[in-house]
Amino acid sequence: MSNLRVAVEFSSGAELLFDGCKKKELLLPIADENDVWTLKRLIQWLKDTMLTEKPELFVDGDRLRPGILVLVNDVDWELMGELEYQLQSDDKILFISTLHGG
Amino acid sequence: MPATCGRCVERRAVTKRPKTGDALCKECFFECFELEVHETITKCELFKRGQKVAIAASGGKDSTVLAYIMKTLNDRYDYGLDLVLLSIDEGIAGYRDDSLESVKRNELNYGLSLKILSYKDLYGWSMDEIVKKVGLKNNCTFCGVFRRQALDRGAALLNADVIVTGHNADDIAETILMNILRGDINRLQRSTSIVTGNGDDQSTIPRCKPFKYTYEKEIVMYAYFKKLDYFSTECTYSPNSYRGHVRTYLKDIESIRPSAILDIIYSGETLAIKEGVKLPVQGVCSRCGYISSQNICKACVMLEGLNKGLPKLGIGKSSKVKIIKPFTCRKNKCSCEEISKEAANTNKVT
Amino acid sequence: MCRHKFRATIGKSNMIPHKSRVLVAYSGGAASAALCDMLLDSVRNPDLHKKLNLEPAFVFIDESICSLNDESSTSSVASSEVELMHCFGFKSFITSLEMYFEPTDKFYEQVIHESQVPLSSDYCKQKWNFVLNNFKSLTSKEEYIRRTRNLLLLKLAEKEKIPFVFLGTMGSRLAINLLTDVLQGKGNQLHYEVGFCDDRHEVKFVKPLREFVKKEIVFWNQMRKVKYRETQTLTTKRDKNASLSKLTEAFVTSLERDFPATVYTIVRTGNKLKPLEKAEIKCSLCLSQIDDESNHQYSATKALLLSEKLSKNVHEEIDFHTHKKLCYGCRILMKDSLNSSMEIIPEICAKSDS
Repeated sequence: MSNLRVAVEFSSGAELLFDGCKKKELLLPIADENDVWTLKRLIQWLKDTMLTEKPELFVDGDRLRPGILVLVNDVDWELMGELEYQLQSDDKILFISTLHGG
Repeated sequence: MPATCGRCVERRAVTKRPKTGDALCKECFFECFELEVHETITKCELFKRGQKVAIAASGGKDSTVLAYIMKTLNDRYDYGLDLVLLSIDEGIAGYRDDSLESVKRNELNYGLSLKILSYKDLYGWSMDEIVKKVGLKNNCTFCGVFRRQALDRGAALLNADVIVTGHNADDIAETILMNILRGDINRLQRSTSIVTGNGDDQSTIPRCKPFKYTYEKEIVMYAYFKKLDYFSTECTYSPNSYRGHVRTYLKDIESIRPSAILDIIYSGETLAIKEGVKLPVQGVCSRCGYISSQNICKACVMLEGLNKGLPKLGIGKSSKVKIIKPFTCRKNKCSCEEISKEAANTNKVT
Repeated sequence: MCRHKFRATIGKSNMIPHKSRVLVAYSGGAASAALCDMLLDSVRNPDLHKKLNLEPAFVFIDESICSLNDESSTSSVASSEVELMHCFGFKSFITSLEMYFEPTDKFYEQVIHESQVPLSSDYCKQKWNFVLNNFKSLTSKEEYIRRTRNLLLLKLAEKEKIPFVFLGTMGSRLAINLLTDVLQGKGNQLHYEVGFCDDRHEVKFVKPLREFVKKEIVFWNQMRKVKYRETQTLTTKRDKNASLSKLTEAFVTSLERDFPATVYTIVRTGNKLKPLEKAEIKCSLCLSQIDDESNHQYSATKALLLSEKLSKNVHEEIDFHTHKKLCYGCRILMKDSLNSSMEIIPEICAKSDS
């Protein structure tokens, strides 16, 4: 069993759902070669393990709550396959909320 | 893997435009974003050379990007505008303190002068003090009513000719839906115009929204890629409001069909009100002189309530508004008798 | 109470002269079943003061082509509807949605016996499926179905020289339609969609149930033992994000729980609207007038065109009126089609011009 190392970042108010955490390095467990981490799985995992407040402001069913933007290595996730994107080692995943006041 | 930019067909695309679905690289995105705001400003003739423009700055994403882009476009296209930042401090501990810090950094970074006005300065009450008085139920009404005038008053102090606000396409679409749901025909018509308050009476300073056609997503992306420094937090008093439902609905709409935001605005722009539907006449408040559909504006009524220890004043039925006698009744030709009668009746009830 | 409201809605409009012929669109669903029942009830009322003096005819449009997966079950449903309609004792017609593409006059039939099957043809089915399947989103599919259903009703009424079509659209549905139209850039058409009478065309479309909410309809059907079935749409079994109208339905329903006046307020907002100034050109698909966009100083249309021009880096002016014969809302619909709109539009235009 090995690990997949990724960094997650939260900004623009998204950090408020994660106890103020702005940045964190994660080691995600990988069972075998066929075990993949999609963004969908990561989001679920974040919800279950890191989220401290109001899950309904982060997820909506099994998708991310609309209004939260995701950047995968500084690229809009809409260009990367969204929930189906498969995480690679050393990826940086940034969640930006647009739901908070401006 | 990410696509190539559809515009320069060279660099790697970083964002997908919600309006059109096109994938763009960073450079092309900046260029499109700026050109579109420029086009909105020039085609809608928002400003005239030599005008003093007050940028409503809250320290949040929209106003930070607005300040940056106004400064950039003013320099690049030589609009000849005198830009100033205008901030309102509601006096909510922990909420504005940090965001005002971020406005102050904007002041330094963009070389724009900044004026901060507090509710305390303008009304004699800070939001924290108001909350102590009225509790957490109607406080947002107070805040909203006071804020609307605060910008006008602040801009007047600065001698500004125009106020610009950071309202974006999502905000406008949301307001259109809100007004349909509330049946507020009057506001429905006003909510789509890019400039408001430039009526014949000249009593108020016109406000305009250069981001009327700019998506929230692109504003956030722009701020991120430009590394603009902004502050974001939910107002500590913000409840799970009606607007919140509408906001969720709008974001769901956007995820089904991103272009719908613009389509809603188009709907709002083209709908028209039947003749014979009564619209309230806009007058001027007899106390403070700001626009109001009533004899006395809501802010004055609420202030009166606060000062007299009747904080419910101005929140419920509008008939209660008449309790206060106007300052100069003769000038307004009001019938004081009628008002005092009403007041007597209402007092009995309360 | 319901009887009174029904007659009052028709009466106060002052639009339908005595002894008018009206064509009632019957789908078998709760609302249109209630409409048929209320109308029959009023027409047959022995009390002369309360009798509604109209001459009804009925039409059933089979929409089983939309739910391709379970064809067998839907056609059996259709037969029970035909049977019911036959029992009303008035002139009635049947056809199916795809017959919109029928080039000849034989796009519907009069019901002469109770086990008659809705008219259809392979040619029309094929055409219909081609057009429908080319729409990328369910939102567009639903919108397209709604529009063609109306066009088919219109054609049928014109052919039969019936001046009024009665639709079973109730207040709750109108509120959802109104919002969905706003989302699709059809703000200037709300007046037709929500008002009592839609007079975009010679034949007037009337909504006698516009002041009823779903609950009232359900009660009426319950008390009068009216037979109806739950109608299936493309999104019935999908989650709320399947289409804009499905999402709007979920939104309005949940809002109604906390704010019971929601539907009334939305419908009332619609009452206060009117169309913009009359324009010469009518949209081929929804038959509303098309805005003269050249009048606008700078509008959402122009903002969108600029964005497209800039982000696709095309220098020449994109032609505003590529689809001269479509309104803004229907242009959005066509943009959502996989095929170039040019392939589909002639089909549509050819029909509506005739």
